[in-house]
Amino acid sequence: MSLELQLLLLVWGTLVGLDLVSVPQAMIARPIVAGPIAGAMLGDIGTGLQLGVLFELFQYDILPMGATRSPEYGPATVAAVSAAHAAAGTLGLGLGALVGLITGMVGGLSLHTLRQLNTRAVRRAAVALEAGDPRALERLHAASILRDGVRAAVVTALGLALAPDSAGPISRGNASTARGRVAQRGGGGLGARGGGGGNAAPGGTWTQSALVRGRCGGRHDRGPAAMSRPSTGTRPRLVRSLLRLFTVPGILELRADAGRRHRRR
Amino acid sequence: MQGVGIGVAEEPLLRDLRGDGTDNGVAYRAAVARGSHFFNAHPYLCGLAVGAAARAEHDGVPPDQIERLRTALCGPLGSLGDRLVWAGYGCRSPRGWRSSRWRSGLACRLF
Repeated sequence: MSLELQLLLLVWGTLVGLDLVSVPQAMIARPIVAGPIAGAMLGDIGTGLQLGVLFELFQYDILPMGATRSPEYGPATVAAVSAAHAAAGTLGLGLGALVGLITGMVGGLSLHTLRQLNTRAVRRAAVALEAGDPRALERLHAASILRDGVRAAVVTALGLALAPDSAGPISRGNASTARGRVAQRGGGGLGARGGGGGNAAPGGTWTQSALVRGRCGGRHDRGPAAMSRPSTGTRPRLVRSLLRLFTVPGILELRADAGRRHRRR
Repeated sequence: MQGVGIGVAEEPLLRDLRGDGTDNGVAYRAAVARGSHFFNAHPYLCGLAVGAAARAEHDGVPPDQIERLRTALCGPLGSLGDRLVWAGYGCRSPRGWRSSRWRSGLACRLF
């Protein structure tokens, strides 16, 4: 995903987060609105609509009356759509939902913190407000909106950071490349040798795939664990692990490892 | 809650109270201070409260009555707006929509 696209999603998520409480309260914070528009930005309206409906159903349980504390599903939906778009297939929706739920919880906590900060700001300006100073009133109002904007931006950025980068091998656009790389890395993938009988890479036992060996603690400095290590860009290790768990190429890789271990026995 | 926002929205309507400046804008400042007191209602219907309070300030209604007016408007505007907008958003029967049977059925069809 290009930097421009991520910035666009960040701006949209910030606007969605602002809409929930501060301005313009035009209902764009509803996931059914935020999701498809985020999907349209990514060129994947279908995924946006599916996740928008999913989080809208979550939000139906919440009535934002008074000082209700609830997860914030607007920026969460934007982050979820980004994650689901980057990962492949139906399991990508699962990954998107996971990212969205985590972001929604963080958003709810940040709203609570924001209310506390606003209360403190009003108490600090109480003397000026009681004196009827209109400039103090406007300053307080603008500062509260600015604070909410920063909060929304931070929550959206966190959600987008949790979402995997689609420029990597396990992405929708590079699915075939990813399968080839999985076979190359593991030495036993279904694609490279046709039957899952690839050679083990140097530096490990036959019962371990090169990928697994590469992840063993403290062995990274002994040299390359795989025949060719693909460039993973700047994707964090946690996100790579999640991708391996939740995406189709990752499952193929795990199945190939399990099959090879079974044949060894 | 919405006191600061109501005060900011009401302030332009109160500028006529400044007069010619002989009293140093005491009435105007007192009205602005009252406008920024606690208020909580549905945001879509807050405009009604802003208009009513500004009209009362212009009519010279005693301050305690204006405070009572604001307090009295909180409940009805809040409950009406919450019922009309939040609870009724996108569906005619919130209770039906919120039942798990509806949600699971819709989710199954979509996914």
